[in-house]
Amino acid sequence: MTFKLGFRELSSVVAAIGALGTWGHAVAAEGEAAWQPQGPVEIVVPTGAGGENDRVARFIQRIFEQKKLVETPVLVVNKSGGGQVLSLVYFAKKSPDPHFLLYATGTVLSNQISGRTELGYHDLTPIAKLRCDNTALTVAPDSDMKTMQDLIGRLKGNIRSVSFGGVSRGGANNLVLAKALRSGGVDPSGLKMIIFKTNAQSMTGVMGKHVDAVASSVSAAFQNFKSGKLRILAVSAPKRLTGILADVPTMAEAGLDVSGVSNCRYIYATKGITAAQRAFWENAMAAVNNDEEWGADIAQRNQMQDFRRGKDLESDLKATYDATRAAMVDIGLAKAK
Amino acid sequence: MANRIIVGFAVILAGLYLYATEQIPVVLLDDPLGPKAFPRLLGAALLAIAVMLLLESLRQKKAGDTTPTEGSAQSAGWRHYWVVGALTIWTSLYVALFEWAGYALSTSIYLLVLTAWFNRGRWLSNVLTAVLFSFVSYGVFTKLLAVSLPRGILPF
Amino acid sequence: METLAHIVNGFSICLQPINLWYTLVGCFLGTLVGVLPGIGPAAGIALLVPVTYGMNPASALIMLAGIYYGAKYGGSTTSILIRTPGETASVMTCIDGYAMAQNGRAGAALAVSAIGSFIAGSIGVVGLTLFALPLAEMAIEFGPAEYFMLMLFAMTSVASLTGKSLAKGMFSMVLGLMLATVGIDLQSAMPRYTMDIVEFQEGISFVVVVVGMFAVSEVFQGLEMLLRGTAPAVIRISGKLWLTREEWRRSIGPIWRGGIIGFIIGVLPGAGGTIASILSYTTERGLSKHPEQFGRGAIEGVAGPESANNADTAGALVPLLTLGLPGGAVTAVLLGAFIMYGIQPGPLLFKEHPDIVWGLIDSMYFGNAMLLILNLPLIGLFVRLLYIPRGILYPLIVAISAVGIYSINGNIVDLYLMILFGVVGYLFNKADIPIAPLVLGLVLGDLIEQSFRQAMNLSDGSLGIFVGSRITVVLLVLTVIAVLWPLIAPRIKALKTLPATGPED
Repeated sequence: MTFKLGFRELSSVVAAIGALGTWGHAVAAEGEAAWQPQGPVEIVVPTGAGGENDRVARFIQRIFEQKKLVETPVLVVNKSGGGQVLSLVYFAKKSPDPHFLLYATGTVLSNQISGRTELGYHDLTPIAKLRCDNTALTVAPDSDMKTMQDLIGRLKGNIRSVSFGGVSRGGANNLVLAKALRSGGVDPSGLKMIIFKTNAQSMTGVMGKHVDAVASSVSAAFQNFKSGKLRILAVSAPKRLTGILADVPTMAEAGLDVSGVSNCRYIYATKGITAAQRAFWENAMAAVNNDEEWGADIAQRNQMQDFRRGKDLESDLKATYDATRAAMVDIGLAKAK
Repeated sequence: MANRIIVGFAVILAGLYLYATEQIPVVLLDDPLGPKAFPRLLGAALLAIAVMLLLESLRQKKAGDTTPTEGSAQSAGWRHYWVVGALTIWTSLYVALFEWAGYALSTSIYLLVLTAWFNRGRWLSNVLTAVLFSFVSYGVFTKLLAVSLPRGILPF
Repeated sequence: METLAHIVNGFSICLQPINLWYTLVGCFLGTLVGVLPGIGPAAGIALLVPVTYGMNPASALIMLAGIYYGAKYGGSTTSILIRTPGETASVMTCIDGYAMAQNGRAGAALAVSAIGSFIAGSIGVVGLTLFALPLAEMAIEFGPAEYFMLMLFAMTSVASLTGKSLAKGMFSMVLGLMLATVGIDLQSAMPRYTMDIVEFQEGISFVVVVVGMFAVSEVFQGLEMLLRGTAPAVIRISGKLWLTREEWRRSIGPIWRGGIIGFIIGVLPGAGGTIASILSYTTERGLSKHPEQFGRGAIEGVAGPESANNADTAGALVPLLTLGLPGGAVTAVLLGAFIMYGIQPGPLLFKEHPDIVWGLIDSMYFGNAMLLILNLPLIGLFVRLLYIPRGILYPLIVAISAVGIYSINGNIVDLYLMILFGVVGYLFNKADIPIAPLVLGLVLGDLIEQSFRQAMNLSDGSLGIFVGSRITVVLLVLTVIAVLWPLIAPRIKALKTLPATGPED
């Protein structure tokens, strides 16, 4: 890698000269997409080096380079801090430079709703929705709660009779839980929520019976579910998952509505880029989405591929924003408008 | 003397901290202690420590043995506080230029000035250190470790 | 028996030349990442994961793990020489390690941290080989109440760091605890003391405070003394670079105890190497016959914590490999790498991929030995850093600190905070207020408050939860002993000497 990076500086110069020749012809043939990056491209990651977001962003960087989707150097830049707000502030300042991409989670939506920042997805140009995590609701294998109905029955008797572990209040899994319970007739604002710093702590919490249930991503619960150390009551996926998870009912089957609140990853560009620039990035991300390794990576983590672009993406974002807002209002985390 | 300043500082800080604690919004009712309980305890503890410090300094004064040495150490120190002030300002300037001028350039300048001041007269070694360190460390971080540092106005 | 066969088979895998080579590469890169302040093993591994695409999974994981434990070796170097922790777990080494360097014993401090790291690292790997599965069960028993009691026990070490004035020590600690409350509160998601500054929402970074208060303040003070002409031109290295017989004798106990403490703490998700090294420091000071030397260059204060934070690495692999649960940032990155190769750590890992797991664990025996061989010759080289004229060395320390801190988050505000805490540290030194309790308060404050509130929420406000399990009771007893130790210790000594003096009377 090290030498490749050094070489890249040189290759960028060569590429800039040669761009009009080879790559230029290729896009010209496709018609409208007459723009391509003129200099180094930055993929901004809202969390630190070494995290899952950072890993996927570097994965995208690698596909960009390998498939020659972007001929200029591609850098991954970590701008963590402020609960992902700093990356947004940094990114918004770059408008309308088309050489910046933001790899983002649903936190862009919830940060605006909770009032942590004024900036939201309207201050960005949505390029693509990439992949989604499903939420699993997990209990200990010998718990007397066997279905979502058992859980809801107990909560209706006494809201504080079940303790829930989780890693982020107002985070995606927390909101899925709140929305599911609300649709089952339980007021989620009085839940006994125990927030842990890491996923490992909340999972050991349920395995060691310190907490009764945990709402986490499916991937965090998967391995211990497979070995029988945990039981999954339901998953938030729209339809049943595959493999050994095929036996786990969905929330919808249990009569609970979790539509809209989801845990997905997006790519944004800065606000004010031209239609040609937007088309270039949408095509590049579509190519990433079709990459074989990319698909395998998503499957390995029990995530879902949910690629959306253009109008489809915008209406999806709007629906997600509204559902997220409703769930946050419900648990008292939304800032009054 | 020094102890009195610490006592005063502790009291003011405790007051500000306790005031800010009461400003923390609370909307959730499911955590019995809430976000304010621990900070209130800390504010109270700081006030108690201020009292402890006051008593300690009074006892020292009675004993009378430490005061003269403390005084002389300080009068020698005061005259040189400006060095620290200047260093703070110069380092802040360095940080202010860090992203705009880029890491390698701002660091070279920062080091050049400081070595010229504190390692006077040895121009060659100072310039070599400043420039070599800045550019080599830039290379190690950005090329070898793929950590992004501000490029700034330089072309690489 | 079957397990034994797997262990032996693991050796045949890690002894393949290609895997030995990757062990070496990993250890070398780890040392580099450890020596550079700021950039830690988590970022280091993450940045190298892409390089391992297409490599055989066993080789790749062996190399990545090498970076992890290699970084722990490197982290102490800058702590000792320039009072800048290269890695957060090395913060305790800044206290006595740096003091030893000022006393001319930098070589011995570096040597003991390398040897201690090797011995304790190996203890950790033996622990991982033999007890991984039963210990995973222990990790699960740790709930909020148990964590709170553990943190309370760690807090008692503040008493050992206060210095002359108890009130000043407590002042420093409470300031640290207050700093720990800045940011979005975990339980309620409400902002506390952020003053509407976005950068404060995730709290004040521990590394920024430590680098500011230890390294930058030392630079300010050093430059001031240089100008006044009261600083020695160069620190004199006294004696040999190696340990004296006496130093070696004093280090053996702390190394063994540190190894065991580090391994056990490492197994607990969420505790980590920093807590392990704090506990080791406290233990050594409590057991020492000359506790007054701690903070002024006691070799036990380097040997113990450095050993603990290396054994912690092997401990941290226990929940990762057996439960698939990463306890910290580094193990989270490693988990990502495992998954990338289609290997899911967890209860089934030892059945599904015994060759890879045991190849990885066994490689750590060789990795630790390589690190020792790699690091010992470097001591002579590193010590030369101290020969650099101070007028050049001090400015360089600020630049190294700045690049290290910026590399973590890419955040300018962190650099301003570093300067601010440099000034605060300078004033603390002038006012004779110890810095270490503040750092401890900052590390432990968050864990103490959050685990207490988690436990109280679970028990609906009943304190009974803190005596509700065997583990909490044991920790409570240890805490009480630690608090009362200064009162008990003289009596025990008196009892011991009684028979000797008795007949004379």
